[in-house]
Amino acid sequence: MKKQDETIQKLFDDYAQELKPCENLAEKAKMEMVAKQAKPLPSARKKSTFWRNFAWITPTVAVFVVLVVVLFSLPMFTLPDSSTNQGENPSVSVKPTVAYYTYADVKGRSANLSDYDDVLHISKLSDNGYEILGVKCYAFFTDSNELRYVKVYLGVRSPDGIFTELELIGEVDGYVRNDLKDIYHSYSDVDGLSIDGDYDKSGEYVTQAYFAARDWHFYVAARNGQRTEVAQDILQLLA
Amino acid sequence: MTDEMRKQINIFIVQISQGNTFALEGLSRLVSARMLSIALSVVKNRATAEDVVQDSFLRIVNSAYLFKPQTNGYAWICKITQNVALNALRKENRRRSENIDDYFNLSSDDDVAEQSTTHLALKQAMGTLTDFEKRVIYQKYFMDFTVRDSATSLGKSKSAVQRAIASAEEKIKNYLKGGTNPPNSGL
Repeated sequence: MKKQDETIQKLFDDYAQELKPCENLAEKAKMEMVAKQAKPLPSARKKSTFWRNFAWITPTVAVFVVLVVVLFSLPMFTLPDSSTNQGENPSVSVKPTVAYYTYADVKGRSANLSDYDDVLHISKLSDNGYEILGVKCYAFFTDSNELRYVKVYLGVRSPDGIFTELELIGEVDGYVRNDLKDIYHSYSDVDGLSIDGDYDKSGEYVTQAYFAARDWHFYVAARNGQRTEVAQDILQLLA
Repeated sequence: MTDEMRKQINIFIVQISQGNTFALEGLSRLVSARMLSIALSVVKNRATAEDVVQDSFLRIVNSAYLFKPQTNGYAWICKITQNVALNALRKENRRRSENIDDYFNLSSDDDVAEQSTTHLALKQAMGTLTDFEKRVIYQKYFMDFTVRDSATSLGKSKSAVQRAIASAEEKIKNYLKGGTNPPNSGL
Protein backbone atom coordinates (compact mmCIF):
# COMPACT_ATOMS: atom_id res chain seq x y z
CA MET A 1 0.00 0.00 0.00
CA LYS A 2 1.30 3.40 -0.95
CA LYS A 3 1.85 5.79 1.92
CA GLN A 4 -1.27 7.52 3.17
CA ASP A 5 -1.83 11.02 1.90
CA GLU A 6 -1.75 13.14 5.05
CA THR A 7 -4.37 15.65 3.92
CA ILE A 8 -6.84 12.96 2.95
CA GLN A 9 -6.12 10.95 6.10
CA LYS A 10 -6.76 14.06 8.18
CA LEU A 11 -10.07 14.60 6.42
CA PHE A 12 -11.18 11.06 7.28
CA ASP A 13 -9.81 11.28 10.82
CA ASP A 14 -11.66 14.54 11.43
CA TYR A 15 -14.80 12.91 10.10
CA ALA A 16 -14.29 9.92 12.42
CA GLN A 17 -13.72 12.25 15.37
CA GLU A 18 -17.10 13.80 14.77
CA LEU A 19 -19.00 10.53 14.79
CA LYS A 20 -21.32 10.41 17.72
CA PRO A 21 -20.19 7.94 20.38
CA CYS A 22 -22.42 4.89 20.48
CA GLU A 23 -23.18 3.47 23.86
CA ASN A 24 -24.13 -0.06 24.80
CA LEU A 25 -23.32 -1.57 21.44
CA ALA A 26 -21.00 -4.05 23.13
CA GLU A 27 -23.53 -5.03 25.80
CA LYS A 28 -24.50 -8.33 24.17
CA ALA A 29 -20.84 -9.33 23.86
CA LYS A 30 -20.17 -8.28 27.44
CA MET A 31 -23.05 -10.41 28.70
CA GLU A 32 -21.70 -13.34 26.75
CA MET A 33 -18.24 -12.86 28.24
CA VAL A 34 -19.67 -12.72 31.74
CA ALA A 35 -21.84 -15.78 31.07
CA LYS A 36 -18.82 -17.69 29.77
CA GLN A 37 -16.84 -16.86 32.87
CA ALA A 38 -19.73 -17.93 35.10
CA LYS A 39 -20.28 -21.17 33.18
CA PRO A 40 -18.74 -24.18 34.94
CA LEU A 41 -15.98 -25.86 33.02
CA PRO A 42 -16.84 -29.10 31.23
CA SER A 43 -14.64 -30.99 33.67
CA ALA A 44 -16.60 -29.57 36.59
CA ARG A 45 -19.85 -30.66 34.98
CA LYS A 46 -18.45 -34.14 34.53
CA LYS A 47 -17.51 -34.38 38.18
CA SER A 48 -20.93 -33.25 39.27
CA THR A 49 -22.63 -35.95 37.17
CA PHE A 50 -20.18 -38.49 38.54
CA TRP A 51 -21.00 -37.71 42.16
CA ARG A 52 -24.74 -37.64 41.49
CA ASN A 53 -24.52 -41.16 40.07
CA PHE A 54 -22.71 -42.38 43.15
CA ALA A 55 -24.68 -40.50 45.76
CA TRP A 56 -25.64 -43.76 47.48
CA ILE A 57 -22.05 -44.33 48.62
CA THR A 58 -21.94 -44.03 52.40
CA PRO A 59 -19.63 -41.44 53.96
CA THR A 60 -17.46 -44.24 55.35
CA VAL A 61 -16.81 -45.65 51.89
CA ALA A 62 -16.15 -42.14 50.59
CA VAL A 63 -13.56 -41.53 53.31
CA PHE A 64 -11.94 -44.87 52.48
CA VAL A 65 -11.74 -43.94 48.78
CA VAL A 66 -10.19 -40.57 49.59
CA LEU A 67 -7.56 -42.27 51.75
CA VAL A 68 -6.71 -44.74 49.00
CA VAL A 69 -6.42 -41.96 46.44
CA VAL A 70 -4.13 -39.96 48.70
CA LEU A 71 -1.92 -42.97 49.38
CA PHE A 72 -1.61 -43.81 45.70
CA SER A 73 -0.86 -40.20 44.83
CA LEU A 74 2.04 -39.82 47.24
CA PRO A 75 4.82 -41.01 44.87
CA MET A 76 3.67 -38.38 42.40
CA PHE A 77 4.32 -35.50 44.81
CA THR A 78 7.53 -34.51 43.06
CA LEU A 79 8.82 -31.15 41.96
CA PRO A 80 8.16 -30.26 38.35
CA ASP A 81 10.86 -30.54 35.75
CA SER A 82 13.17 -27.53 35.95
CA SER A 83 12.82 -26.98 32.20
CA THR A 84 9.21 -26.01 32.71
CA ASN A 85 7.80 -23.11 34.65
CA GLN A 86 4.64 -21.74 36.17
CA GLY A 87 4.18 -24.66 38.58
CA GLU A 88 2.07 -22.64 40.96
CA ASN A 89 1.87 -25.14 43.80
CA PRO A 90 3.84 -28.26 43.00
CA SER A 91 3.29 -29.86 46.37
CA VAL A 92 -0.38 -30.47 45.73
CA SER A 93 -0.71 -30.53 41.94
CA VAL A 94 -0.54 -33.83 40.13
CA LYS A 95 -1.30 -32.29 36.74
CA PRO A 96 1.64 -32.13 34.37
CA THR A 97 3.12 -28.64 34.21
CA VAL A 98 3.46 -26.82 30.94
CA ALA A 99 5.98 -24.32 29.64
CA TYR A 100 4.61 -21.07 28.32
CA TYR A 101 6.06 -19.16 25.42
CA THR A 102 5.09 -16.16 23.34
CA TYR A 103 5.02 -15.27 19.66
CA ALA A 104 8.42 -13.69 20.10
CA ASP A 105 9.91 -17.05 21.07
CA VAL A 106 9.05 -18.81 17.82
CA LYS A 107 9.55 -18.30 14.12
CA GLY A 108 7.04 -19.51 11.54
CA ARG A 109 7.90 -21.35 8.36
CA SER A 110 5.74 -22.45 5.50
CA ALA A 111 5.20 -26.18 5.81
CA ASN A 112 3.72 -29.12 3.96
CA LEU A 113 0.54 -30.41 5.47
CA SER A 114 1.58 -33.96 4.61
CA ASP A 115 4.60 -33.64 6.94
CA TYR A 116 2.23 -33.29 9.89
CA ASP A 117 -0.61 -35.53 8.78
CA ASP A 118 0.24 -38.22 11.30
CA VAL A 119 -0.64 -35.66 13.99
CA LEU A 120 -3.26 -33.50 12.31
CA HIS A 121 -5.15 -36.28 10.49
CA ILE A 122 -6.34 -33.94 7.74
CA SER A 123 -6.20 -36.83 5.27
CA LYS A 124 -9.08 -38.38 7.22
CA LEU A 125 -11.28 -35.67 5.71
CA SER A 126 -10.44 -36.73 2.14
CA ASP A 127 -10.89 -40.36 3.15
CA ASN A 128 -14.41 -39.51 4.27
CA GLY A 129 -15.54 -37.76 1.13
CA TYR A 130 -14.51 -34.18 1.95
CA GLU A 131 -12.85 -32.19 -0.81
CA ILE A 132 -9.89 -30.06 0.31
CA LEU A 133 -10.21 -26.80 -1.62
CA GLY A 134 -7.33 -24.83 -0.18
CA VAL A 135 -4.62 -25.26 2.43
CA LYS A 136 -2.11 -23.03 4.15
CA CYS A 137 0.16 -24.62 6.69
CA TYR A 138 2.79 -23.01 8.89
CA ALA A 139 5.06 -24.61 11.48
CA PHE A 140 6.52 -22.59 14.34
CA PHE A 141 9.91 -23.43 15.78
CA THR A 142 12.07 -22.08 18.58
CA ASP A 143 15.57 -20.75 17.94
CA SER A 144 16.88 -24.19 18.86
CA ASN A 145 14.67 -25.63 16.11
CA GLU A 146 12.17 -27.31 18.39
CA LEU A 147 8.65 -27.49 17.01
CA ARG A 148 6.07 -25.74 19.19
CA TYR A 149 2.96 -25.59 17.05
CA VAL A 150 1.49 -25.93 13.58
CA LYS A 151 -1.17 -23.61 12.23
CA VAL A 152 -3.42 -24.66 9.37
CA TYR A 153 -6.02 -22.76 7.36
CA LEU A 154 -8.24 -25.08 5.41
CA GLY A 155 -11.19 -24.75 3.05
CA VAL A 156 -13.16 -27.97 2.68
CA ARG A 157 -16.32 -28.98 0.89
CA SER A 158 -18.47 -31.70 2.45
CA PRO A 159 -19.80 -34.61 0.36
CA ASP A 160 -23.12 -32.77 0.12
CA GLY A 161 -21.44 -29.57 -1.06
CA ILE A 162 -21.25 -27.46 2.10
CA PHE A 163 -18.18 -25.25 2.29
CA THR A 164 -16.47 -24.93 5.66
CA GLU A 165 -13.46 -22.86 6.66
CA LEU A 166 -11.21 -24.27 9.34
CA GLU A 167 -8.51 -22.59 11.35
CA LEU A 168 -6.57 -25.05 13.43
CA ILE A 169 -3.67 -24.66 15.83
CA GLY A 170 -2.03 -27.92 16.86
CA GLU A 171 0.39 -27.47 19.73
CA VAL A 172 2.89 -29.97 21.11
CA ASP A 173 1.83 -31.20 24.56
CA GLY A 174 3.83 -29.64 27.39
CA TYR A 175 3.91 -26.22 25.75
CA VAL A 176 1.25 -23.53 25.69
CA ARG A 177 1.39 -20.23 23.86
CA ASN A 178 0.85 -17.51 26.42
CA ASP A 179 -2.24 -15.99 24.82
CA LEU A 180 -3.91 -19.42 24.60
CA LYS A 181 -3.35 -20.41 28.20
CA ASP A 182 -6.85 -19.49 29.39
CA ILE A 183 -8.44 -21.69 26.77
CA TYR A 184 -5.91 -24.43 27.44
CA HIS A 185 -6.56 -24.46 31.17
CA SER A 186 -10.32 -24.35 30.65
CA TYR A 187 -10.30 -27.51 28.61
CA SER A 188 -7.10 -29.42 29.25
CA ASP A 189 -8.86 -31.73 31.72
CA VAL A 190 -11.26 -32.83 29.03
CA ASP A 191 -10.58 -36.06 27.21
CA GLY A 192 -11.44 -36.10 23.54
CA LEU A 193 -13.38 -33.43 21.73
CA SER A 194 -14.87 -30.43 23.51
CA ILE A 195 -17.08 -28.19 21.41
CA ASP A 196 -17.61 -24.93 23.18
CA GLY A 197 -20.63 -23.76 21.28
CA ASP A 198 -22.09 -22.77 17.97
CA TYR A 199 -22.62 -19.11 17.32
CA ASP A 200 -25.07 -17.99 14.74
CA LYS A 201 -23.54 -14.89 13.19
CA SER A 202 -26.34 -13.68 10.97
CA GLY A 203 -26.28 -16.78 8.82
CA GLU A 204 -22.76 -17.92 9.55
CA TYR A 205 -22.08 -20.61 12.09
CA VAL A 206 -18.87 -20.58 14.08
CA THR A 207 -17.96 -23.72 15.96
CA GLN A 208 -15.03 -23.54 18.34
CA ALA A 209 -13.45 -26.65 19.68
CA TYR A 210 -10.61 -27.97 21.74
CA PHE A 211 -9.31 -31.49 21.81
CA ALA A 212 -6.21 -33.36 22.84
CA ALA A 213 -4.91 -36.33 20.91
CA ARG A 214 -1.68 -37.99 19.85
CA ASP A 215 0.41 -36.05 22.42
CA TRP A 216 -0.76 -32.77 20.93
CA HIS A 217 -3.62 -30.45 21.78
CA PHE A 218 -5.68 -28.54 19.25
CA TYR A 219 -7.66 -25.32 19.11
CA VAL A 220 -10.07 -25.18 16.19
CA ALA A 221 -12.52 -22.67 14.76
CA ALA A 222 -14.81 -23.90 11.98
CA ARG A 223 -17.09 -21.59 10.02
CA ASN A 224 -19.77 -22.43 7.55
CA GLY A 225 -22.83 -20.71 6.27
CA GLN A 226 -25.45 -23.42 6.41
CA ARG A 227 -25.40 -25.75 9.35
CA THR A 228 -23.29 -26.89 12.24
CA GLU A 229 -23.42 -30.64 11.73
CA VAL A 230 -20.74 -30.47 9.08
CA ALA A 231 -18.34 -28.58 11.34
CA GLN A 232 -18.96 -31.08 14.12
CA ASP A 233 -18.45 -34.01 11.76
CA ILE A 234 -15.14 -32.51 10.61
CA LEU A 235 -14.03 -31.91 14.18
CA GLN A 236 -14.90 -35.47 15.16
CA LEU A 237 -12.86 -36.81 12.23
CA LEU A 238 -9.86 -34.71 13.23
CA ALA A 239 -10.10 -35.64 16.90
CA MET B 1 -6.54 6.70 13.47
CA THR B 2 -3.22 7.22 15.24
CA ASP B 3 -0.60 4.53 15.79
CA GLU B 4 -1.24 4.92 19.51
CA MET B 5 -4.92 4.05 19.01
CA ARG B 6 -4.02 1.10 16.81
CA LYS B 7 -1.69 -0.23 19.50
CA GLN B 8 -4.36 0.25 22.15
CA ILE B 9 -6.92 -1.60 20.03
CA ASN B 10 -4.53 -4.55 19.67
CA ILE B 11 -3.94 -4.60 23.42
CA PHE B 12 -7.70 -4.56 24.05
CA ILE B 13 -8.27 -7.49 21.68
CA VAL B 14 -5.60 -9.57 23.42
CA GLN B 15 -7.10 -8.69 26.82
CA ILE B 16 -10.57 -9.64 25.55
CA SER B 17 -9.19 -13.05 24.57
CA GLN B 18 -8.20 -13.39 28.23
CA GLY B 19 -11.75 -12.60 29.37
CA ASN B 20 -11.27 -8.96 30.36
CA THR B 21 -14.64 -7.19 30.13
CA PHE B 22 -13.10 -3.75 30.82
CA ALA B 23 -11.06 -4.19 27.66
CA LEU B 24 -14.30 -4.78 25.77
CA GLU B 25 -15.70 -1.52 27.12
CA GLY B 26 -12.51 0.29 26.17
CA LEU B 27 -12.60 -1.15 22.68
CA SER B 28 -16.23 -0.18 22.32
CA ARG B 29 -15.41 3.42 23.25
CA LEU B 30 -12.67 3.54 20.63
CA VAL B 31 -14.31 1.89 17.66
CA SER B 32 -18.08 1.48 18.04
CA ALA B 33 -18.90 4.72 16.21
CA ARG B 34 -16.63 3.74 13.34
CA MET B 35 -18.13 0.25 13.28
CA LEU B 36 -21.62 1.74 13.17
CA SER B 37 -20.59 3.90 10.23
CA ILE B 38 -19.32 0.83 8.35
CA ALA B 39 -22.42 -1.20 9.20
CA LEU B 40 -24.73 1.62 8.18
CA SER B 41 -22.98 1.94 4.84
CA VAL B 42 -23.97 -1.64 4.06
CA VAL B 43 -27.38 -2.18 5.67
CA LYS B 44 -28.72 1.38 5.32
CA ASN B 45 -30.85 1.14 8.42
CA ARG B 46 -29.86 2.46 11.82
CA ALA B 47 -31.55 -0.28 13.88
CA THR B 48 -30.13 -3.09 11.74
CA ALA B 49 -26.71 -1.41 11.78
CA GLU B 50 -26.78 -1.34 15.58
CA ASP B 51 -27.61 -5.06 15.60
CA VAL B 52 -24.71 -5.62 13.22
CA VAL B 53 -22.33 -3.84 15.58
CA GLN B 54 -23.64 -5.88 18.52
CA ASP B 55 -23.08 -9.10 16.55
CA SER B 56 -19.66 -7.89 15.44
CA PHE B 57 -18.61 -7.37 19.04
CA LEU B 58 -19.86 -10.89 19.81
CA ARG B 59 -17.74 -12.24 17.00
CA ILE B 60 -14.75 -10.23 18.21
CA VAL B 61 -15.15 -11.72 21.69
CA ASN B 62 -15.47 -15.26 20.33
CA SER B 63 -12.61 -14.95 17.85
CA ALA B 64 -10.23 -12.81 19.88
CA TYR B 65 -8.10 -15.81 20.74
CA LEU B 66 -7.40 -16.27 17.02
CA PHE B 67 -6.25 -12.66 16.57
CA LYS B 68 -2.59 -12.22 15.72
CA PRO B 69 -1.29 -9.31 17.85
CA GLN B 70 1.32 -8.25 15.29
CA THR B 71 -1.38 -7.50 12.70
CA ASN B 72 -3.69 -4.50 12.36
CA GLY B 73 -6.46 -5.06 14.90
CA TYR B 74 -8.49 -2.10 13.70
CA ALA B 75 -8.59 -3.42 10.12
CA TRP B 76 -9.49 -6.86 11.53
CA ILE B 77 -12.45 -5.32 13.36
CA CYS B 78 -13.53 -3.41 10.23
CA LYS B 79 -13.43 -6.63 8.19
CA ILE B 80 -15.53 -8.43 10.80
CA THR B 81 -18.06 -5.57 10.84
CA GLN B 82 -18.27 -5.48 7.06
CA ASN B 83 -18.73 -9.26 6.85
CA VAL B 84 -21.39 -9.35 9.57
CA ALA B 85 -23.20 -6.47 7.84
CA LEU B 86 -23.10 -8.25 4.48
CA ASN B 87 -24.41 -11.42 6.14
CA ALA B 88 -27.22 -9.43 7.75
CA LEU B 89 -28.09 -7.98 4.38
CA ARG B 90 -28.15 -11.44 2.79
CA LYS B 91 -30.21 -12.82 5.65
CA GLU B 92 -32.82 -10.14 5.27
CA ASN B 93 -32.80 -10.76 1.56
CA ARG B 94 -32.62 -7.06 0.99
CA ARG B 95 -29.67 -6.94 -1.36
CA ARG B 96 -29.59 -3.61 -3.13
CA SER B 97 -27.03 -1.71 -5.06
CA GLU B 98 -24.58 -0.15 -2.65
CA ASN B 99 -24.68 3.60 -2.52
CA ILE B 100 -21.33 4.72 -1.24
CA ASP B 101 -22.65 8.18 -0.37
CA ASP B 102 -24.38 6.50 2.57
CA TYR B 103 -20.95 5.96 4.12
CA PHE B 104 -21.24 9.54 5.24
CA ASN B 105 -24.80 9.49 6.38
CA LEU B 106 -24.22 8.13 9.84
CA SER B 107 -26.01 11.13 11.24
CA SER B 108 -28.80 10.57 8.79
CA ASP B 109 -31.29 11.78 11.34
CA ASP B 110 -29.51 15.14 11.37
CA ASP B 111 -30.50 18.00 9.18
CA VAL B 112 -27.95 18.78 6.45
CA ALA B 113 -27.55 22.22 7.98
CA GLU B 114 -26.34 20.58 11.19
CA GLN B 115 -23.63 18.60 9.44
CA SER B 116 -20.15 19.93 10.11
CA THR B 117 -17.87 21.56 7.58
CA THR B 118 -15.61 18.52 7.70
CA HIS B 119 -18.50 16.19 7.08
CA LEU B 120 -19.67 18.24 4.11
CA ALA B 121 -16.14 18.72 2.75
CA LEU B 122 -15.54 14.99 2.84
CA LYS B 123 -18.90 14.26 1.29
CA GLN B 124 -18.26 16.74 -1.50
CA ALA B 125 -14.72 15.50 -2.09
CA MET B 126 -16.03 11.94 -2.30
CA GLY B 127 -18.62 13.21 -4.76
CA THR B 128 -15.86 13.69 -7.34
CA LEU B 129 -15.07 9.95 -7.35
CA THR B 130 -16.52 6.96 -9.15
CA ASP B 131 -18.28 4.34 -6.99
CA PHE B 132 -15.30 2.00 -7.16
CA GLU B 133 -12.92 4.80 -6.20
CA LYS B 134 -15.15 5.73 -3.28
CA ARG B 135 -15.08 2.19 -1.98
CA VAL B 136 -11.32 1.78 -2.17
CA ILE B 137 -10.57 5.19 -0.70
CA TYR B 138 -13.00 4.59 2.16
CA GLN B 139 -11.42 1.20 2.82
CA LYS B 140 -7.91 2.67 2.76
CA TYR B 141 -8.44 5.75 4.88
CA PHE B 142 -11.35 4.80 7.14
CA MET B 143 -11.00 1.03 7.48
CA ASP B 144 -7.18 0.74 7.30
CA PHE B 145 -7.44 -1.89 4.59
CA THR B 146 -4.35 -2.84 2.62
CA VAL B 147 -4.51 -3.08 -1.18
CA ARG B 148 -4.73 -6.83 -0.79
CA ASP B 149 -7.63 -6.53 1.67
CA SER B 150 -9.54 -4.27 -0.72
CA ALA B 151 -8.81 -6.48 -3.71
CA THR B 152 -10.13 -9.52 -1.84
CA SER B 153 -13.12 -7.70 -0.46
CA LEU B 154 -14.15 -6.19 -3.80
CA GLY B 155 -13.16 -9.10 -6.04
CA LYS B 156 -10.73 -7.00 -8.10
CA SER B 157 -7.04 -7.29 -8.90
CA LYS B 158 -4.53 -5.53 -6.71
CA SER B 159 -3.36 -3.41 -9.62
CA ALA B 160 -6.93 -2.27 -10.31
CA VAL B 161 -7.29 -1.26 -6.67
CA GLN B 162 -3.94 0.57 -6.73
CA ARG B 163 -4.90 2.46 -9.87
CA ALA B 164 -8.25 3.43 -8.39
CA ILE B 165 -6.64 4.65 -5.16
CA ALA B 166 -4.10 6.76 -7.06
CA SER B 167 -6.79 8.27 -9.24
CA ALA B 168 -9.07 8.93 -6.25
CA GLU B 169 -6.31 10.56 -4.22
CA GLU B 170 -5.48 12.81 -7.15
CA LYS B 171 -9.12 13.84 -7.56
CA ILE B 172 -9.61 14.55 -3.85
CA LYS B 173 -6.41 16.59 -3.67
CA ASN B 174 -7.46 18.59 -6.73
CA TYR B 175 -10.87 19.15 -5.20
CA LEU B 176 -9.38 20.31 -1.91
CA LYS B 177 -6.96 22.66 -3.71
CA GLY B 178 -9.24 24.23 -6.24
CA GLY B 179 -12.70 22.97 -5.47
CA THR B 180 -14.15 21.57 -8.67
CA ASN B 181 -17.86 21.00 -8.66
CA PRO B 182 -18.63 17.52 -7.46
CA PRO B 183 -20.58 15.73 -10.20
CA ASN B 184 -22.51 13.34 -7.97
CA SER B 185 -22.27 14.63 -4.45
CA GLY B 186 -26.02 14.65 -4.12
CA LEU B 187 -25.92 18.12 -2.63
